[in-house]
Amino acid sequence: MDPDPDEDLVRRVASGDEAAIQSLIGRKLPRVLSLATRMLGDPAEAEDVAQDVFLRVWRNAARWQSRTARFDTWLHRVALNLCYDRLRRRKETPSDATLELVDSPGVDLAQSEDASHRVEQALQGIAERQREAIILTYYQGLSNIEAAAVMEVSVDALESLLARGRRALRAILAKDTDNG
Amino acid sequence: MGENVAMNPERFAALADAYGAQIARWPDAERAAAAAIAETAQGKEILRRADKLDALLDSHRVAPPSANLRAQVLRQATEKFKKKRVVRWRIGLAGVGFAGVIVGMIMATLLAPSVYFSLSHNTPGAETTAFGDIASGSMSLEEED
Repeated sequence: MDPDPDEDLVRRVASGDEAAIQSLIGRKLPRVLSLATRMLGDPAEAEDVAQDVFLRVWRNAARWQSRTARFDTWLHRVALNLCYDRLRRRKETPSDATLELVDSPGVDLAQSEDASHRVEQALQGIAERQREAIILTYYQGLSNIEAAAVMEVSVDALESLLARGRRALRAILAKDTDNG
Repeated sequence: MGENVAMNPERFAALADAYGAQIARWPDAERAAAAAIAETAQGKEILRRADKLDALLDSHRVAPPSANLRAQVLRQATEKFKKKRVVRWRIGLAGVGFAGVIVGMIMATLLAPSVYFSLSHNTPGAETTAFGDIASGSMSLEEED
């Protein structure tokens, strides 16, 4: 395994170094937040997840061992687990907010915002594991090997999820264009 | 997948289906071979189709973390590490206290006056207690038997 680029920073965080803490927040918070926002389709819930992820970072920094996994891989896994907890809870008790999220296309948005909104809805419309695969490789920029490690699947399985996910997105977005 | 898979138009299409139109996002081991196919008419058409979806995906924007969220996360860290420091300080204090007790005990042993009571036979009156002379008493009982 290549050296972990975050190893030194995490070690300094574990000793309570305030500059390192600030640096880790600057480096990782945007990544965690965008991952959670795209997985959940709800910015407020994504913020809660981001806070929970960082609580775990502060709690576990001293015990962190770079030999077992890269810090970024571990961080993605923690964030995804927290997202899945919330997605599971949503299925058990669908709230008004969730329904509103899926059924609210009619807001007056500028064209670029509208495109972003359509993609967001399409992402929420595909299977969770396909969404996870696309977010990790396309938006988070993880390599196929890193994404497969986070998802605990083989690279073959990852490619299958990606291809099916992109096909499903294309179908939803094409239908959306036809209806629009 | 990757190193053991021969590059051909089918594999090229499968990679575009999975990773999109930018070959830079494809697995390292297959990029060089894919670049050659990307120059063909078939390759260009595959990439053009994949690029249409990429353009839509790129339009999806996520707001950066708010100042409030950053402050909240930083506050959590400050509180967490402050608690850890307090625990470490208390452990340190307890350690210093314990060391103090040990040092005190050693000092007490070293500096105490060298007065002690000996029960050796050479000390006059050593066999005498408040109940009389132990040694002579036992002797006299044996004699009576």
